[in-house]
Amino acid sequence: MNQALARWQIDHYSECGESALIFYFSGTSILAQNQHVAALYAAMSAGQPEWLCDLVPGFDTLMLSFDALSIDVYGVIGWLSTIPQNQNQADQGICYQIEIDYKTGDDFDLGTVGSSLGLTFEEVISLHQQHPLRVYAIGFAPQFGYLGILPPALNVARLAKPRVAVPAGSVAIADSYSAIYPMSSPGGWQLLGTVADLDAFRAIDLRVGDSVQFTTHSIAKA
Amino acid sequence: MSLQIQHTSLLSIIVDSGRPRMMHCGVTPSGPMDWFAFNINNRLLSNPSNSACIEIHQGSFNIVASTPCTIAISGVGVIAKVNDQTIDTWRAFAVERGDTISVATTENGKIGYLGVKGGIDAPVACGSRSTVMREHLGGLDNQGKPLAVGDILKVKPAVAEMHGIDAAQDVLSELLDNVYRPRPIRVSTGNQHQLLGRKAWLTFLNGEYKITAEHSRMGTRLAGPVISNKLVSMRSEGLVQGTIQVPPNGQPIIMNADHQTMGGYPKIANVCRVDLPLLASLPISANITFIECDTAWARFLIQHLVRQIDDCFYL
Repeated sequence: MNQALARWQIDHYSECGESALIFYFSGTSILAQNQHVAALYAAMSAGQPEWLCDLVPGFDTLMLSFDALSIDVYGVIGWLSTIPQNQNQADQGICYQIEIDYKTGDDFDLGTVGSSLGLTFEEVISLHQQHPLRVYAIGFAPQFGYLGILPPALNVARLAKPRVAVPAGSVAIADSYSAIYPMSSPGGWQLLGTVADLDAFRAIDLRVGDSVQFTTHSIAKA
Repeated sequence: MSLQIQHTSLLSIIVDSGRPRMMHCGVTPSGPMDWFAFNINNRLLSNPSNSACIEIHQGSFNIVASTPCTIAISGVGVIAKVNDQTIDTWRAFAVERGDTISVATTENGKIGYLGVKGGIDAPVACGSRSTVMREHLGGLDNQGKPLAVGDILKVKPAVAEMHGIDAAQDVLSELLDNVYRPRPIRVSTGNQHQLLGRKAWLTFLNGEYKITAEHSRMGTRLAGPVISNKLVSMRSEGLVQGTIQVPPNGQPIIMNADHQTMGGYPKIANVCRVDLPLLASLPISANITFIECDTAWARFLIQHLVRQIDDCFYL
């Protein structure tokens, strides 16, 4: 059993009731851990058995739920040792280019983020686009990807008072992550702008392990 | 074949067994709050197990049949009537053209299921007809809209009659007593129960908690002895229906059918699947306690219950 876990860089696991379990991955950094998550997630997605219900890849975890009538936790872990391991699978995500309309107006936080960090808004935008951001997890809402890791110079806290309704397509940052709100919802992240083409973004089947490179479509007040 | 809605409760929605294999995209699994009442409803009607029916919360729901059809109403604390005559719940019932069917919950927090032979027809989104308002999925408009007065529900044609499907009523009523009998809710340990510590675990198991009005298809907030979760900081991770999280105020939250796919609070416990129906049947302000059950036993219990359901229907 330990071999099956070690093969996938799993540090330990925990049972989430009788029908699910969660793997915690080892690794020297959050990136390394998330690469291990993505490798097992991709391998499991490639050949889902009947009893496998849902997979939930997270930052350093992978939860899976299963049909407790047909298999138990030992069966699931036994299955781990039989899944083909593709050495190149670790990081085969797709990199999407996403154009942003950055907004300097009062409905957005680009200006206040800049002043709180001692940056001009051009510098904020440039840091936001410094390198492609990896999809570390998808949660909170459908297609809401946690995109990281942002340069430390761009790390800001969440809003003290979350917005009741963040408009669909808003591009936001908080801590070391950026995200796009695919639909309107309450939210506490700081808004930098909106995606230029929301329908095109919604059509993307974003997966953990993919990445996103932001580019500028426009910079305007609203 | 169709049904027209005359009156709706505070919330009445179309549900089926839920959205399979979508959690990795951040989509909630959804499905019924009470899987047992939902499952029995479809069995009583000889419907395929994932057929859609109506889940009724808080109040009374009235519908008129435009053609003769067979219905079933299940759930605990639910009053069912046809043309103002009370009918048995947990039983198939034939209605005539023009009959008014009424389903009313007796207390806020209780849930009723109204099914019709063949199953409700509605657009399928991501493999399911279940309605999730915040995700704009399911419902008649496929934008997550709950049912409203004037809506017309289409019914799918019934599948070919299966034989020997009538419920053994005495066996079923015994089973109902067992499933919904008041008792402590069985839980297994959650992912962070060790991090939370032994004091937190004992506080949780020894305390009595009240179901607060902050109770929805997403989650149920409890009020009771405070569980200390200081020093526990963690990254968001996957969760399931029945996972119990402890937010900073120490008042546990149980995740329900429409839960978010990930949660960042420490998870102290998971409700055993066999006890999700009992939990779903409790009204707001009810007091609950928890008792520990290991996962191997929980798995035996769910297998045993499913076998008992099969026995009821002579399968």
